[in-house]
Amino acid sequence: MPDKLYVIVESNGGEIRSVSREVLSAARGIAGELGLTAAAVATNADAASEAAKYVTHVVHLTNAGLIPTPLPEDAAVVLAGSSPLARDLLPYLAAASAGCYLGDCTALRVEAGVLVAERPMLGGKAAGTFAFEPDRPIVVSVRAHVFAASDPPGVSGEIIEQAAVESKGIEVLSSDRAAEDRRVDVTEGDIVVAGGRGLKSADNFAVLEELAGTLANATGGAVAVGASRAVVDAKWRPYEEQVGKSGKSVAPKLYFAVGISGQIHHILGIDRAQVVVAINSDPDAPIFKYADYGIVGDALQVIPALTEAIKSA
Amino acid sequence: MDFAYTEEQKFFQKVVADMVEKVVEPKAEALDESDDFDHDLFREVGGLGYYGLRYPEDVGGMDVDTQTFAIFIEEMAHGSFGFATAAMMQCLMGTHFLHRFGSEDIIERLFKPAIRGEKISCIAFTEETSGSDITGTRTIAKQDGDEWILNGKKMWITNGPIADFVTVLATTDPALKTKGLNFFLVEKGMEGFTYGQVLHKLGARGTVTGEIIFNDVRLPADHLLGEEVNKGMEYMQEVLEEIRLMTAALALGLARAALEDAREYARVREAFGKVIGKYQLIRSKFGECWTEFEAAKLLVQKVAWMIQNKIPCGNEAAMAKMFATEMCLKAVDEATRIYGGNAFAQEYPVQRYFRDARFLLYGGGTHEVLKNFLGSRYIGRL
Amino acid sequence: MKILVFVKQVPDTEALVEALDDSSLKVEEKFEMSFFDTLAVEEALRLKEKHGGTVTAVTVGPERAGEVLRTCLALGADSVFRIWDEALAPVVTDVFTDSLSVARVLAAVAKHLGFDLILCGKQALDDDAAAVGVMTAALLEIPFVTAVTSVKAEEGSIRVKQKRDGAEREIKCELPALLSAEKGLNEPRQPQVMKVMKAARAKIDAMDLAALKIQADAIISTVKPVSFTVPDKARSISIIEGEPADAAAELVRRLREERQAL
Repeated sequence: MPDKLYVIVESNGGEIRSVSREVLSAARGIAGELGLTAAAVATNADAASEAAKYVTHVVHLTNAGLIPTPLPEDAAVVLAGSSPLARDLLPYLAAASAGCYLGDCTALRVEAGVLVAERPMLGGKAAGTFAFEPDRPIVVSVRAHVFAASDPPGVSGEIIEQAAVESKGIEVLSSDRAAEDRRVDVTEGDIVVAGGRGLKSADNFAVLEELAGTLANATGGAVAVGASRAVVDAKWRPYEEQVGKSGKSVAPKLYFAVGISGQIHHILGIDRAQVVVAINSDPDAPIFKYADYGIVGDALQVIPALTEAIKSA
Repeated sequence: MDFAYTEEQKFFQKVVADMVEKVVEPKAEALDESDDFDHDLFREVGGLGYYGLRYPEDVGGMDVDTQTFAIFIEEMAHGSFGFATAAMMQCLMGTHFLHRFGSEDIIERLFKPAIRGEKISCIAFTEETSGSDITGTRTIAKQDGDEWILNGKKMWITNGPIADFVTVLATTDPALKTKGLNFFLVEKGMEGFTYGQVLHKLGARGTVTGEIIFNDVRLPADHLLGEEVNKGMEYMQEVLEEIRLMTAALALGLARAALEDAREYARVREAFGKVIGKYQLIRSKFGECWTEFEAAKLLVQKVAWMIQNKIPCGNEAAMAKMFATEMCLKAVDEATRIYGGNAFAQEYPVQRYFRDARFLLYGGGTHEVLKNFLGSRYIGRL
Repeated sequence: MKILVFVKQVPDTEALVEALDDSSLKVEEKFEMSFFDTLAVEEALRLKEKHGGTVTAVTVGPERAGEVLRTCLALGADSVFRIWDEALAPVVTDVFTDSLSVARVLAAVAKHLGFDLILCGKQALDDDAAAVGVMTAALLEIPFVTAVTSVKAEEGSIRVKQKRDGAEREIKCELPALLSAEKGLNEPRQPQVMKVMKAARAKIDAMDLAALKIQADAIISTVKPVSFTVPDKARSISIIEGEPADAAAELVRRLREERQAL
């Protein structure tokens, strides 16, 4: 009888990733409401002993390859934080065990004794609440900051070592940390960082480039640099980067308008962005009427501070 | 009766719209700004096979029906009106008479490369003294043994100054009026064939429009495009309906671009605390323009159907051209009103649509001429 | 090389979405091939052009989804299959797709047709689930690499590049395998009109579950949407005050916690 809720614990050199810690922190509460026991799977000894402070049962998979062992037989629920690894692993586990899978959830709770999740649909144009088919394993990943991280409650769980099943047919030949940032067309960015006249010179776009690189590293997503018509006309940036009515229309998940006043020309090009952040020194700039978050200030001070904040967060 | 596009037409429309959005539209603003011909774009679209749409497969064409061809023209005009006029020239007027009457040599050497986008073609009607009234044609062709000698000057020739070959309307004797007209093929590099002034246009920019001059240009016998001498007017009538229909299709595409832009603007622009799309006076503009657009589209579909089924439609084709053009002129006007002061700024394409639309008044016959023609047809002989 | 490409028809990114009530969503009837799938099709065609073989495109969807297969034919696919069955209607709707059900169907198709390589998009642009490809590989018990940015075929194996967590990995993968396409993999071509017209006339056959020997009761919706909301389009600004460093840190926190945008 499956009676456990497993948390997949991702770690970086023994350090538990923050999103995994958030899920670990919520695991006991959710497991309790479902009448399950919280447990964890880790691939690193240090991470396993840290996880054992949150839950009573920890499987330490040794020699884990790209795709570790199948779902434990006693798993009723598997939770993980959203990550590229989770996107590979979770659907795999769910399919192999005929389970229910929902990834990248923005809320997860127990209602009337069963799990209920929320996530965006239709490219963010709508959001849905989802139920799971009963009597099957449920495999779910949740995004960062859906749950709050908390200090371990001080249990000391048992750690069971288990050898991972070897992944077949896949061999990583090289892994290059210093690989160049993946730059994509402005229409393809998951995040677009766009600059305007408020950056004061073409050279100052370096601060935007740095922010873009930092965001690419932090999120693993595709990040593009964009520009307002004014700076394209001034030949600070190439036409390919122009966002707006006579340039390109963009629909990123997150859009930064930096030193862009917000002419309707520009607004028409960003109408489909999900979240818009405006940074401008003029508190009356029209861009603030079309943004979700705003900082009034000099872009050349705010952007380096933002880059630092993302690096240290 | 069936007003729906066939499944094939629907699929074709989708593919063309996608191609135009990705390949043509990104170039539209630069074409308008420079008023220069984009050779790469011209070759790229030709390389995909679009210039051969209306020709049979045995000469490398696609053999599509008239409605499908109209869909192509409409979608092109939706992306870049200037480039659409160049493409229409290449697909239709610039190549039609070569296909109809060209020798094997002309087909292989000029026509086939043209529909692949490798050679640029054009047609030359207009002169100083003739526009919609082609009886004023003064360019003269004199027979000399087997050959022809051409003299004269043509104006307002789309792609004239860059064309690899030109189909030229000329008369054997001005006194014969319409009964002396013929089409001749003139090739770039022929002795006595030169270019005059290049004209700078208000709209439909992105083509090189200008004068071409013939000074004792000697043409071989097979460069008379026609089975018989002095039948040019008859040959012209064969294709005039189609030219007018496609001009109407240009109007549909341009009007749609203007209305879509205006709608996008009306959804976002705020005035007095709400988006302007919530005001009745703005909605009323869309109500009228949308209705007139649909009416123009119906006329286009009807004329396409008539041409396809070889039903004479000189009257209906003139009506379609005129009605679609007037509809388009109103749509671009209302679009600029919706844009308010921003319509005056070059940053927004809406001012380009406004300028482009004026082209439609002259291409395919002025409305003064067409109304007079239709009125006289309706009243009958007096 | 025998290549299968899985494609999906999704609502156009500009299609309007409206909540009729809290349990039904209406999507404007404008559809297109999911962007990442266009990259997969292009890569399949390039592999075929370089190494020979065949490209077969497959979709699971109602009749209107046949259009994306026509597009594949126009681009140069050798054959296409549309899989549909009444039993699939509840699990593949305009607004939601049950990943496991579709993966089961696709795994059966792959076994039925045979293959050396399967290509698909990294995720579909409507649900962004990124699940069907991985699940199909799991059911077929073949190796897979997701979100590849470069593909090179070798004898009996394939070498790909994948960007992840700021590092670029080069991976060797034995065939048969499944790869999913990431942005930057290639620049999709425009179809030749000749092929467009042929594709426009092609009859797109549908295969049902019986043809694939799938029991209808194997298709159940494992995950079910029960209610929907459509967020208000109007934005309302939150101005974040403070010195640049403090404001920046607060912005990062709120983007993460309130919008899960970072």
